Amino acid sequence: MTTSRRAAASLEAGAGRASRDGGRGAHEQPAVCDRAAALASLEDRLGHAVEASGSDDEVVVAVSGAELPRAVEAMTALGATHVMFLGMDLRGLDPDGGLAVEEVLATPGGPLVRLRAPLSPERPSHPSLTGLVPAAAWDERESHDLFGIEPSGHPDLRPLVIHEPIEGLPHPLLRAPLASCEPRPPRPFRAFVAHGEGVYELPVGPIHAGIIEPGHFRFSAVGESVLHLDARLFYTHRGIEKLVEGRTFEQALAIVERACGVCTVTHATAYSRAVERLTGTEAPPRARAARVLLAEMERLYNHVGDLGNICAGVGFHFGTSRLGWQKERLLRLNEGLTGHRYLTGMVAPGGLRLDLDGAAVTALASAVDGIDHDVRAIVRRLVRSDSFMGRLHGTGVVTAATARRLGAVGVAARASGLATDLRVDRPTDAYAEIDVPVVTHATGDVAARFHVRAQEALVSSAIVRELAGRLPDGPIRVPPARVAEPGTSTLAGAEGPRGASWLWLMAGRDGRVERLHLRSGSFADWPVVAAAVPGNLVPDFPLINKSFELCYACTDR
Amino acid sequence: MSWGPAVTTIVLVALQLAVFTAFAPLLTGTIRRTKARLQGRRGAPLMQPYRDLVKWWGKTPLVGGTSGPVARHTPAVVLAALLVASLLVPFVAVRPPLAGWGDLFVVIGLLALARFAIALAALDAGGAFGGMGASRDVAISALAEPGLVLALAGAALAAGSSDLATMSAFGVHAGVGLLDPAHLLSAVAAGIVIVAETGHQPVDNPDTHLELTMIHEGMLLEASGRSLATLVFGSELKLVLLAAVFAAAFAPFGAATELTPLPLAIGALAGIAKLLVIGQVLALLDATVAKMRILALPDLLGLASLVALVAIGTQLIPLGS
Repeated sequence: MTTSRRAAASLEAGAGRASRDGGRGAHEQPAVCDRAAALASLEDRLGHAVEASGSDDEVVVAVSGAELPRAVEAMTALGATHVMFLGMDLRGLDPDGGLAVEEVLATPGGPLVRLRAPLSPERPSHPSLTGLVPAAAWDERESHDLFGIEPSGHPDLRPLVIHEPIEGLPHPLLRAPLASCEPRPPRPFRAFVAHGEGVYELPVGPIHAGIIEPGHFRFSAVGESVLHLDARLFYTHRGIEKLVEGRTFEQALAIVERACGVCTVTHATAYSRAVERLTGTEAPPRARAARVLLAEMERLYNHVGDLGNICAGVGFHFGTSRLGWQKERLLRLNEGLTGHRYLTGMVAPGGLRLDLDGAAVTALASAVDGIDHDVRAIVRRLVRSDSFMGRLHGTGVVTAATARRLGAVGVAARASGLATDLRVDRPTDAYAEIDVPVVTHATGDVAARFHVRAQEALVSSAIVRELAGRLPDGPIRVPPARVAEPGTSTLAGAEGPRGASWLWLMAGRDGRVERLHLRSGSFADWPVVAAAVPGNLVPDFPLINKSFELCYACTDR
Repeated sequence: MSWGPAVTTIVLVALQLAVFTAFAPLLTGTIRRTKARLQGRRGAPLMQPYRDLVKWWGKTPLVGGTSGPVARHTPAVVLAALLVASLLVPFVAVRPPLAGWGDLFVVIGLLALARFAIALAALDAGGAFGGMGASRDVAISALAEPGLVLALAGAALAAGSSDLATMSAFGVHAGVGLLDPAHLLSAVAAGIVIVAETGHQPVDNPDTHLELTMIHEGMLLEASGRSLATLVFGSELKLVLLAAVFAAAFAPFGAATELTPLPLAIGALAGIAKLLVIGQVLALLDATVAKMRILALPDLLGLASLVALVAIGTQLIPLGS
């Protein structure tokens, strides 16, 4: 009982408890690192001068494929974290351009460092970075599937994105066949399972009894205890990155935004910021504030719904139905505000496509206030229910070390004590003008993710109410300042409901998309889910899964 | 008015079968309705369980390539076991329709037979969830059955017989005097077991779609069409049956002691009222309690056995007077 009471008290204390400095100070305080320090460290490690381009907040460094691991080591020694790793085929713009890979790292408080290594189109291969940066494991498998770029020494090169290679079209993102192109033999799915006395294998999905997204999970269990979980995702891979090649930025927006139905503002914002960087455009103040307002509405309805889903994971119908209704109220507010319950079609490069409904904005603060009040009351009752909280405590623990090692983002990272939030770490739009407290929790279990979500929902509601009261007037969109120069690339991130979502974009001819790569928060966190499950009970998996509540569509693209 | 014993038996059998089978889906409907209302939803119509049964009954069962004759014949075995058991339980009168054909241990045995058949069919279907659900269900019932037997034995000890008719008659004659601590403890123990046996919270969630958490539903995942209709009806009937056993042993008030129309009518009304009350208690649990961690269930069921043992102990050991 004491635990529940204390949890209730901490909820009462609200989100202000863990402040921006408080959250960070309690855990780690990496030294701030600037462009010069990053380059010095690189040159020191590589033993020669490096060629760097880009701006103060984004440095592109050319390295050779063989040097890649040492360059990454130089960056991680500074406390840099993995952002994304991607392959690219530059022959679309220049027939002699060849292939390349890029490892992007975020230095603490400093620039994004993009280590680009050209690869030979004869037999593209580079030393695998997974040993140094475990978070890159899936990225490398993805570039292996889509480009045929081989990360040599990778511990697990099973197909990830393309389950069964298509005859005659081995690597869909290649612009031209590789010189050494040999058709890959179809490899049947081989799950990693445990063997031994009393160990049984339990396959679940991809078709489930409920109406949820498809994913296949292979449990190795002894009795009700899980020894190992192997997940096979990417059943909803639609080839979005191929689909946007050669489209105008405006056309690609509609596709990228729909990578997922419940993270549309996140993806549209990351994409729009990337296009704005390439075209030297700055969105007008009203749009910058409205984007933040929309992003927080997206976080709010997702978090409220996800809290309800955690209740569904333990069959606690009170919470499921009450929070489901609060989510519905938020969706209706969204509809009044934008004409779309899931906020699609609002954010665009240069600002907003449509303005917010004036009357809805006026009424927003009091409406959100009412929902905020009800959500608080429901959550207070939930944390006082011993039968409910008893299931959450100690279930699905992710330690801070595991979270850091696997590159967890979002709620999953913050519930394990990592104070990471793009809204604070790399503020864009109006985030620079508002104070966003980073909510963290130390225990890393389902209860921690529940509390972090509950408090973040209150933070979002406070931000929405603040911005609704002082939304600047003025234009909502400006035209691009210039046509993006072919071959230039950049990346932009947005903190979505499921953590940092990064979008990498290269401009092609006539302001079209040459290459786009989307690494969502869900993509980053799926390996964390798989790591959280062993040692728990089989029937607790749905609860653990729901405490992360990751999107499949965002991950699969 | 007097009937011959054979006629009496036939009339009672027909009446009880009609009431039980007609009422079982409605009881489930009322539970779902209350649960929905407690969640702030309007809920499905009370008649929905009947419509579901009719819908499934009209469909041909799809049989997986791995399932054999066991899965095919299980629905009939389950239904037969439960129908026979329901005729051994006093409901309208203190006398069960088939008086003297079997005591409460036969009822428990028939329930076990039905469970065994479902578990076998679930294994026979060859799906992952069937085996998982069957192993959980059997594990839980292995722990629940001693609790039920001990709880009923407590009541039987007081009545001096394990015959449900005698126990029921004893209860009716004892009136309010029945409500001594030993009796109440036995009733609590039996209540816990009935929650577990009928698959309600906090033991099982009857309307989950999360395969990995399923117990009873997991065993039915491979069933379809007519088989599914029979098995679902079986679970609805089992709920009525267990509630009737509980009522006969612990709250027989209102049951007819004479087989004349007025007491029988009163007995029928009282019987249905008791079932509805038990259903509402289950609905309340479903709506307000989270499901327990599966490895905590032995503690709960062990508690039921312990409480039942204490009830027996208080009767065997003379305390005070």
